[in-house]
Amino acid sequence: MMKTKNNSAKTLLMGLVVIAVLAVLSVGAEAIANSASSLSIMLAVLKKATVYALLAVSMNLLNGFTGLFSLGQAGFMLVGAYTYAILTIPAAKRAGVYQYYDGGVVKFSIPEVFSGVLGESIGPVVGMVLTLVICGLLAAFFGWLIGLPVLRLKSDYLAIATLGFAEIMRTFIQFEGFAPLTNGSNTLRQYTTFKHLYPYVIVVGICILILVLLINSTYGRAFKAIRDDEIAAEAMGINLAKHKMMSFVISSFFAGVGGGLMAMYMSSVQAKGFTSAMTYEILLMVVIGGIGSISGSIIASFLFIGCSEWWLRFLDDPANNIGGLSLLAPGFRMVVFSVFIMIVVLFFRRGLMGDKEFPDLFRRGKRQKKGAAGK
Amino acid sequence: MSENMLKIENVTMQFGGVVAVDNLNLEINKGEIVALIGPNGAGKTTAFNVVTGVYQPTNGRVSFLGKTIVRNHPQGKMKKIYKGEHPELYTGKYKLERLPGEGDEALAKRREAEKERDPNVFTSHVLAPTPDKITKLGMARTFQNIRLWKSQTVFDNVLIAKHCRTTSNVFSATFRMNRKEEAAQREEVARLLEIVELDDVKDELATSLPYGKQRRLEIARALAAEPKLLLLDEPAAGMNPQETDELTAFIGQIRDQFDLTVFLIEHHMDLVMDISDRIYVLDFGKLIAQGTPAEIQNNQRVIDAYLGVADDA
Repeated sequence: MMKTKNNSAKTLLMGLVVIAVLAVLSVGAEAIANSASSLSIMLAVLKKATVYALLAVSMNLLNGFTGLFSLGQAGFMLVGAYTYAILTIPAAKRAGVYQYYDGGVVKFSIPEVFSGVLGESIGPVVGMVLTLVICGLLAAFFGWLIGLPVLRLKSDYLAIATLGFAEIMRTFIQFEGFAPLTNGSNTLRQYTTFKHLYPYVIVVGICILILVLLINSTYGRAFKAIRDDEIAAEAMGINLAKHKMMSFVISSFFAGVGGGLMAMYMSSVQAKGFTSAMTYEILLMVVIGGIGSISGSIIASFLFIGCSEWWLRFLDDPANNIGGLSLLAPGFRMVVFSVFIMIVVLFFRRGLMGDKEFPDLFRRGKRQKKGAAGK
Repeated sequence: MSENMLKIENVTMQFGGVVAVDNLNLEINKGEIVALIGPNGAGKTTAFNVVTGVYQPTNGRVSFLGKTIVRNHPQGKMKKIYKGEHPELYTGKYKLERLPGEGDEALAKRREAEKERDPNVFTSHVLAPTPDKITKLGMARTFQNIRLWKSQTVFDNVLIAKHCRTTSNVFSATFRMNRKEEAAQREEVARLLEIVELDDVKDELATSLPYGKQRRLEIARALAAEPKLLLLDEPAAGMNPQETDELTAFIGQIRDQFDLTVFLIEHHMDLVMDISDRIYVLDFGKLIAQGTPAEIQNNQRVIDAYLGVADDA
């Protein structure tokens, strides 16, 4: 009778508790990071990994749970990042940022508007969160628009079409005609950002919790059915077009939010940076973590960012060479990192977590114990 | 006269130059078990695929519970290469011929009767819903080669089939505002699994079940979609005689219990003769015989089609 009971209320509560605990931990981590200059990189790594966790999970919803091989992530992130940056540059700083375009066409900043209404303390926060939601909505709108023609395609063709979309977005945003809005190929900077780690953790935590709830809902089950067998899913009354679109739009929404957070983390955005390589990085996290595992994606994004940005740094420093060998040089860490990835893929064919979730690991242990006791 | 459940009229399915189903006409009444048999490649599964919306027929009409659900006529390139019959029956060119000595009033009456039968009868109206829409109308099927959702448990396989009956939208489902509906669905699935005797393996992966049970699960999944008409595509394929007997009893049992009408394709003649009320026989896409099991057993054309005719005969 265990599985027939629906313990979703428990999931929701558990999720909120986990987010609260992580937020407290992140405050602690920040204090530790600030205590020593050698640890200052930890804060940046944690922020970046948190953002990537959301991006990886949103990609996993498409690639892992709905079986749509899409590579448009960078495009949706770009939409989110630009939306965020454009809407939050303080009015006074706009003349400086849009120096070639008379301060741009957008003359207000949402956080400033809200701090005018709600006061200096919570106004900006409300404004920033609201802007993130707008980022998501706009990315979702683009997702819907692209989804109309593209979702008829299957596997590799879908991947190529979405990849094309991401490239088009990148060029589009740099187009001179839109420059008063997007600042052309110049950077957008000086916009409002979260100063600390914990707001990142809370926003990402809530987004991932929503995705978890979605995946465990009846719609999430329908997505998995489409992934497992499209023909059977359709024969059992699941409307393929509608559900694929739903999954695509939701994934783009969270990619947009992730893009907004990415803009915050980077503190300056330029369309040039959102290349397809960024999508591949996220895809790599999804694959390493396990296609179809949310906790896998989260773990993989932390490991990935940790390795590539922090733990392997020492390999780049020629001063660490031992015994006259000149092996260690800038860029060498990426060689070692690639070998790491190969090893992971070789020994964990289905990613670190397969399609299991973190709590499943304990659950299976329990069942085995029960079985042993029964004997 | 019993209520009409499914009616296939003049259905032709042509793939390029190959006519897979040729002018098929058949009718299934409520509560019946009807079998469609025929040698390999006769077009049985194609006929199923037309009824369930997987294929759009080249020509013809399918109605379900008195309502037209599928309707088409040869279009575009198919107009030129169409080899079947009645190419204009489902287009605007279809007219009622005046019978000899028939008055205007009688003709108008016949026109009305035709319109009653099919509101779009004198138009080129095309109806081609996707399979999911047809399933929602109350038709569910199984597949010749088992198509269970491989990564899902037995319980989830059946639960997912309930998805087409949910009324909650994606937001209310995500934020768990549909708890009552979800609980009711889970309850129903648990009960259904008890009926089909799969409740002891409900947390196993669907693919880990033995073959016979996978077949049973596929039927259970179809039942979860709450059909009025159940289409079974070779439910006994690959089963041994004992499993086949069990299946025969099972099909009869669920027909009574769920108030179903069953339309099945099968090669096991024991099963077919045992449970069918009526049998249709297809050969090379054409209907060659129909009737009760006893009639079919003694039909020379059926025997010829199945066993082949000796050249010197």
